[in-house]
Amino acid sequence: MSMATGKSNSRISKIFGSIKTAFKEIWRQTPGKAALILLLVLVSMAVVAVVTITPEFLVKWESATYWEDNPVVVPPCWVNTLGFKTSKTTQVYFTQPSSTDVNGSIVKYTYTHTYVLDVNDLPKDLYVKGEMPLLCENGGFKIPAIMITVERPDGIIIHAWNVAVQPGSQNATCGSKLTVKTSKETFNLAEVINYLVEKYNITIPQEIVGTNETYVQSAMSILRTAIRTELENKYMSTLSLFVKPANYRITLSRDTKILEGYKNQITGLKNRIMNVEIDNQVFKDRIIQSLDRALNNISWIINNINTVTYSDYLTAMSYASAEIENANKLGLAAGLPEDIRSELQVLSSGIKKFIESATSTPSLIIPEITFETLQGSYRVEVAVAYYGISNPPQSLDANVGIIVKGGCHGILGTADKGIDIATVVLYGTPIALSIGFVTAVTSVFIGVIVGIISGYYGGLIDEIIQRIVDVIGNIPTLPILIIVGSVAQKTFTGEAKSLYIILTYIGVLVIFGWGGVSITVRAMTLSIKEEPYIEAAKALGASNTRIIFKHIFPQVLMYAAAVLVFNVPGAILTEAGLSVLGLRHGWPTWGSLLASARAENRFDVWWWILPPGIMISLTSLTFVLLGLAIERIVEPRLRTL
Amino acid sequence: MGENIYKPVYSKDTKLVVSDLKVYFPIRRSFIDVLRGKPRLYVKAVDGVSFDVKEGEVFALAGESGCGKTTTGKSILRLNEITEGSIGYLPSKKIENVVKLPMVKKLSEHGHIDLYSIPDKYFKPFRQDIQMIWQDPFGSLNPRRTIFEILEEPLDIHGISSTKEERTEIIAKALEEVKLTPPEEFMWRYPHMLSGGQRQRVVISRALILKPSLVIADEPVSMLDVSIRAEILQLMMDLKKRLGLTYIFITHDLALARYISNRIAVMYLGKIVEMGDARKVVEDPYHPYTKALVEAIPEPDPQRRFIIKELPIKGEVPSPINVPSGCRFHPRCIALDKHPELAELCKTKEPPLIEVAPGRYVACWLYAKK
Repeated sequence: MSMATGKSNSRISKIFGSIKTAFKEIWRQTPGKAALILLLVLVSMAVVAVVTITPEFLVKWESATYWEDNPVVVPPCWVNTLGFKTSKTTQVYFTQPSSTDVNGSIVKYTYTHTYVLDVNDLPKDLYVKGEMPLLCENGGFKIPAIMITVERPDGIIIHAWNVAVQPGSQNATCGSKLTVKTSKETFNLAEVINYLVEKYNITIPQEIVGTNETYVQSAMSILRTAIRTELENKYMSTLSLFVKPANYRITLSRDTKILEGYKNQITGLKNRIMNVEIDNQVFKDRIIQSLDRALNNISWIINNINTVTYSDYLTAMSYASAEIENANKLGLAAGLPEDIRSELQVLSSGIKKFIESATSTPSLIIPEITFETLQGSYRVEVAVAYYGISNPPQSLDANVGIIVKGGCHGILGTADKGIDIATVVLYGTPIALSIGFVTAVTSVFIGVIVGIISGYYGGLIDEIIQRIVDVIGNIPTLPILIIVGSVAQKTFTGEAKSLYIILTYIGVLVIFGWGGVSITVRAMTLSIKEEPYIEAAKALGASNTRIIFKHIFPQVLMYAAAVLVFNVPGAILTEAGLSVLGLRHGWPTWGSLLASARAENRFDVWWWILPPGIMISLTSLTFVLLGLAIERIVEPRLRTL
Repeated sequence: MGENIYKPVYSKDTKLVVSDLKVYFPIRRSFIDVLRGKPRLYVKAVDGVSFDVKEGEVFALAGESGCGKTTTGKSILRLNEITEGSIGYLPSKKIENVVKLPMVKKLSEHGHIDLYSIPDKYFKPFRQDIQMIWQDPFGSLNPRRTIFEILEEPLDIHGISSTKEERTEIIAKALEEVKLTPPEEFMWRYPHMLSGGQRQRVVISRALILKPSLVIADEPVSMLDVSIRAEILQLMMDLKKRLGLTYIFITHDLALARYISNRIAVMYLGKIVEMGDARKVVEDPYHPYTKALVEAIPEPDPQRRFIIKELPIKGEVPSPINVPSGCRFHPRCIALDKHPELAELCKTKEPPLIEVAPGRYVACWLYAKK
């Protein structure tokens, strides 16, 4: 009994001893050292990933809501040290208010964060989100009122959002959380426009707008509309927080084409009226006079087109319109033909419409305004207030997040949907390594065992095995993989779908992977078993098992190690290739990152394709170097004396 | 015929008796040949060989390559299947009681047992008792294992001593025995780090580490440099004396056989043609084939260095698949040309191994006639 344990102990210690020696031997060589260091990095990445990964991540890593707080397709932040200028991404979450302010029955919890924008790059988004509790007093609900103010570096304080949260129809209870998220639709853009106009003194010069108060007002309103359009379209409303006006220019259209048109129309009408027989000569003269005055007004504009102000232009036009209307009224009394009168009518209302459009849209007066990034510190303050609370809690059980999406993110940037590339690369490591290892180890193991059996025992077994290998070897793997992959995508459902798809890939790779190994191993076995030292071992009484495991296997091991090494990256590459071909399995792998880059046609985004690509190459390199080192151990003849 | 036809005798001091041993190797037929119903052909490597080896003797099996001497040696170790015959063996004391199984065939009252009647799984103890020294010191050592591992393997197989310290001691002693000193220096080397002579010492050491009583040496020096042959032979003889071994010495070199062995059996094409005292066989050969072999021994006489000797033999060795009828040597026999009256007999009837002088046997019709 004690003998047996002693023996097994010594065997275990022998195995450990040989593993230790193997590591030492690998470490002694330069490629081995490099391989071990790389392997250590890969394995520790894998370990970290396995320890920290959540099942939720595996399912949701491709959904946009999971990465809600990340900017979309931005480079890593270290590019700033290379001379790029990108704004920072800030995601601060508060569980404790920065300050609490009780004023009578009003309690206000304030959360503040200062965001420093020190480059010209505009952030991509700013929003506040949070979960606030519903407080209770005397059985009645107290709903929080949320005010978000931003103090800009230029001193403007903008009340960006005022949100009153509604508990909704669901059965709310005391302390139940209300979810809040600000959006650009609820953003207080009008206030920003007001402050910007005021602070930066955006006015229309008198030489353009003139002095007529009404028209000055309408010009200002056109300008504000232009500002609003610009801020809404280019700066998503919210980002107007980060800008100041850079240039603005207001021009008056100096085009006389419309005026010439009116002039010709009036002249034509006048000529036609003069040829009409009208009994009352006085009326006719007055009509002609009215039209002449209208013509004069329009001509005056045309003549002074380069100096005329907006006010004078429109005043003259309204005079012309009034004269034509007057002529029309006189025409009715004088019995002018119906067709001429209706044309007068159309003309006068046309001019009226022209005036109307010139006072409400940027048709006559054209404002152009551009904005630029305002650098400096922005103080974002989120105030959560409850009214009518007699005994307010000192600290609020709330969760408030202030998110500024910048122009860079994390250590490896983001892909579409804000996917954090560093996270996916990290979590892809154990998956890639397992795919590679499981495939390589299984197929090489099967290949070696079958090859040795085939070569050592020969006869009918050998014949059957080799014919099977022939059949397998002549079936192309890739089309089979594609077919099996798409069938698997349709067949498997449920939570473990991805796992099953990957296992299917591995299965196909193993089925088609062991054949080549077994052919070579069989050939090696055939030659090794004829070696004199095998016969010598038989003469010593060695069993078949002993000969296979002690004499043949160690020699095949070298080849097996080499094949293992080449199969590991091979399987990872196949998985990546299938992903890129569109046979996705749904897990965060390096291949799926490349696949999404292909799907979005964004191969120009280097931080999207390089990290997974480099990881695949590094893994391959690791195993090739490791193979070189292992080869020297299992093949002592390569060693120098 | 009143002559004594050779029959192996089981006596108290006979270590090994090979009786009418036949080893035929089937030739693989192609699929078409199988369909045509062509009969299976055999390579008759050993075709009726009988001899006995006395305890403590050096018995030489001589003959040119392909004559079946190595196959005979391997058959004794059960490294190949035999077709017919029996191999009687007198187990040494240490394994005497190992085999008392009912199926084991007793061949004599002295305790000889038929090696081929022992089932495979019970044969292992015999491997300790019968060992082999191999011809090729380069091929017969696994290049991937250290000398220690190579010598440890027999201990491991037979479960001799389990601790590493004990084994190291045994191996060191075994290495010292074959004069590989200091053993600590050789133990951890790989075969490719040793010279041919040193490797052959390792091969000898591996054969002797199990303390056998019968050692089959298959041309142990033929692949060594001439300069170290004598050294190795001297070592083998020393060990024999010291350990009380019995040698079966397989060689193609009659001069060498005469020098080291007590008795010689000369084989031709799977059969023994002459057997007897080593010195007598070489100095006064009877069989025409032995005569040719003896003639082929180079003479260490500088006077004759430019003379290419005419050997008393003609033709080539026939294929062992189609053995000539009658005396298998007759197509090459020069004596036959001188005795045309024997032609009919030689071509049709196989000569038995007959005693022509005490302890001297020849298989030739030339001598049977007397």
